[in-house]
Amino acid sequence: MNQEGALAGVKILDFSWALMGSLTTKQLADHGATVVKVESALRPCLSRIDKQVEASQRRNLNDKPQFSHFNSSKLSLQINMKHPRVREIIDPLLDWADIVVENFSPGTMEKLGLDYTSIAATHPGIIMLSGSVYGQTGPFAKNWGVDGTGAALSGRMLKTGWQDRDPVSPSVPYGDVVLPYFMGATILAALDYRDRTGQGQYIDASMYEVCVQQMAEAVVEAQLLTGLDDRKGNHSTDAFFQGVFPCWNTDQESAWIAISVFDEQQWLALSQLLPGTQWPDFDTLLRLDPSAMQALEQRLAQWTTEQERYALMHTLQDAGVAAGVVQDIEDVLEHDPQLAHRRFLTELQHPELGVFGHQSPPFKLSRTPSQVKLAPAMGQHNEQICKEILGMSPAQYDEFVKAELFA
Amino acid sequence: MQNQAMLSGFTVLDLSDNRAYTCGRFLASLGADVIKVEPPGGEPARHLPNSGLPGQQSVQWQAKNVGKKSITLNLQDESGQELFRALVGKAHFVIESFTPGTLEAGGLGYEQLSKINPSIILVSISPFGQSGPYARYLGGELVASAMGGTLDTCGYPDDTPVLEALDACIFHANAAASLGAMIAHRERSKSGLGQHVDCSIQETASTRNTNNLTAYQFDQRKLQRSGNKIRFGVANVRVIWELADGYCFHSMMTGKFGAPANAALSRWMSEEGFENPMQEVDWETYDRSSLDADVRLEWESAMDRFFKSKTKKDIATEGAKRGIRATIAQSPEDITADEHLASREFLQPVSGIADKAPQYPAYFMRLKNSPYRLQLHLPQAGEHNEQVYGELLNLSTEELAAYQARGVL
Repeated sequence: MNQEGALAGVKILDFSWALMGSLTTKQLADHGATVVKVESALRPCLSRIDKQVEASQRRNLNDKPQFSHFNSSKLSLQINMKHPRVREIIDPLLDWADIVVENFSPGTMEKLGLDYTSIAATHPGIIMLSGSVYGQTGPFAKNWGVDGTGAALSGRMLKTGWQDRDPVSPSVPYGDVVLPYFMGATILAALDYRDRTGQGQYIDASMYEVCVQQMAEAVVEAQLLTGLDDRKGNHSTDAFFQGVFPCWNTDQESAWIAISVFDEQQWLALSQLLPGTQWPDFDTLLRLDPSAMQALEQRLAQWTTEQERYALMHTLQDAGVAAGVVQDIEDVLEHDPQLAHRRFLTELQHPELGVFGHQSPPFKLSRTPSQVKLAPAMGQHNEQICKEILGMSPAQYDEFVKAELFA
Repeated sequence: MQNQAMLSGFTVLDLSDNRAYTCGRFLASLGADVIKVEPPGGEPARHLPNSGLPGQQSVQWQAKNVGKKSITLNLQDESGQELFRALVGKAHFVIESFTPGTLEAGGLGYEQLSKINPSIILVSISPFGQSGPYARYLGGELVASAMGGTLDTCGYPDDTPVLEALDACIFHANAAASLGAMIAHRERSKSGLGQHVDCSIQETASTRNTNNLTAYQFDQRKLQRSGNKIRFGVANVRVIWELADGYCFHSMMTGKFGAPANAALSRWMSEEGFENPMQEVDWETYDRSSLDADVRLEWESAMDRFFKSKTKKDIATEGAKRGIRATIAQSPEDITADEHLASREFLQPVSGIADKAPQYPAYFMRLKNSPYRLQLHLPQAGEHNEQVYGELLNLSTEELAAYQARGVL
């Protein structure tokens, strides 16, 4: 049992699955909370079955690296939620838990008799969080959705890319990975409040709404101004000059650097590094029309294209200009001393996949750091949960095994 | 029954620039008293030239600071630093996003603040983190997303990598820092002690890239950016489609999971007389990973013609009725008109703007047993000087005037 870390003693009954739910409780477990992940081999989470790398086998539930990233430090309870006797185990776990987390389609927990109203009737102090794409109420609450739905609904999708081409999607998730942090934070605020006041809480988290919070500037702007472009390419409101520029290619792969200028001093520093003298001063820069800006960016690109990308980043940063190499996954893993310094991966020995780095929480607590531990195999902690958490006798546990509850 | 906001009674001193605005706004939505500490005259970001109506505060500033209070204080000045230390004695959280080392240089680093108030939680959000070889490197959204590996995944393969809308990675890091703050908050209730929460925007961005990470860790394979498509393993599936009057998101899911929606789209195409190479497909056995790439292109070109004939309204009404699982890529105007958000009272008018008050997103998450809405007020610089300095430090109006005259406030 995990007794260390900032959240030691925090008890979570975790019905969550997929990316959004799993990441929420991962963060809490990595900081010492005891998380009992309720799952079943009859309906395993996609991250236990989706074969993404050669080392994984489709039928093996315990050899998917993505599952390990999303479910570190948790305990696994394998249980058939449709078994007639399932409440004989779930009810005592509700007595044990401070917190219940779920992200099924709205209405699912109600069908199981495990919606907030039902649980709170006997456990008024419980803190429950439901995560979904649209939220628990409203005309579209039960509509289908995935990560890309959140991007489409919130305006992110329409506003990403170049104005003269179709919008683009990054091939990494957004709502699915942003919501978990806000959900975890809200759960803990509720727990602290409950401990001070006795008041339980129900939290309704909508990916759509949180993604609109990210887009708040665009939502407000559209009410005040007209004739705005949908997409701004690589320009930002707060940067006076900004772009992504090609660098010298050492091999077949492309090489790019990102440069941003946020004030006059930085523009001066950049223009002093540039060859020739015909670079505009800051006041002129601010007044450039789009075509003159484009011409300026092309001139800069002629210079960057002769530079090695990391050397150029260091030169620019040493001169006081914000610059960063557009790193791909190989760069991130093998050429980045900063991420390595922060130990962004925790190496763990996986029983089937061997040693590999697991993603760590990207915020560091100075006094109570996170501790990432191995994700569980399906049902790995059935016996431990029943005997140590619920205090079951060996005979009782064996009876549940024979009744095929742990399926 | 108590019906207070969950963080009511907790005070946050918010020193942040736009890289950490959101953390305070989130804590404010839970009821914390979030006090912006601005230089005399207000922070320069109130007036970014490229944003908003001429002569008014920048829209970016507005959107990220609604719900906070504002005091002015000159932190360059010694008596200003003294006042700040006194405020820290009364506060529970400090949020900042200076270049690492800046606070320490002013005698206001975590070590110094924790001597004044051992229970203080200092939340620092920076491009690369508080220590390490790149700690003092400069950067905003674009540079941090470049170094974090997300920028490389966004854009057309034949074009420059392109930024995601607005401040995606900064917002993500603020979410992560908010969780860090609440973990420290919960721990403080047991130990009585605060700590320093150090969040890196680059590192937060890097955590989004799990698919790419495992592909490289195990198979030394890199997933390239793919424009309006998304790579799922070996398949490259188009997800953004042009409509007659906009765009929609639609992705063909594998097997049983996607079968009803895929069949519904194919049926709709046939019923309307569009050429349909998918007519005979058995959707139960369709597997996006094993579908021949040329066959996929043939399907996608038929779907492309079909979608271009449909409007956003067709997709939202007829498409939803048929269960094709397409979602409109909404514009901000679509969002402000959306009946779903209206039924949840998500957008609300702001106060503190002279004319033409726009609607703002009013909360992050709904709570059943506590208030969860932001006070949608935009503070003038120093609007709460009298209230905050009076309540927290017992400064009189005369004392405040004296500080003001010396340029400290």
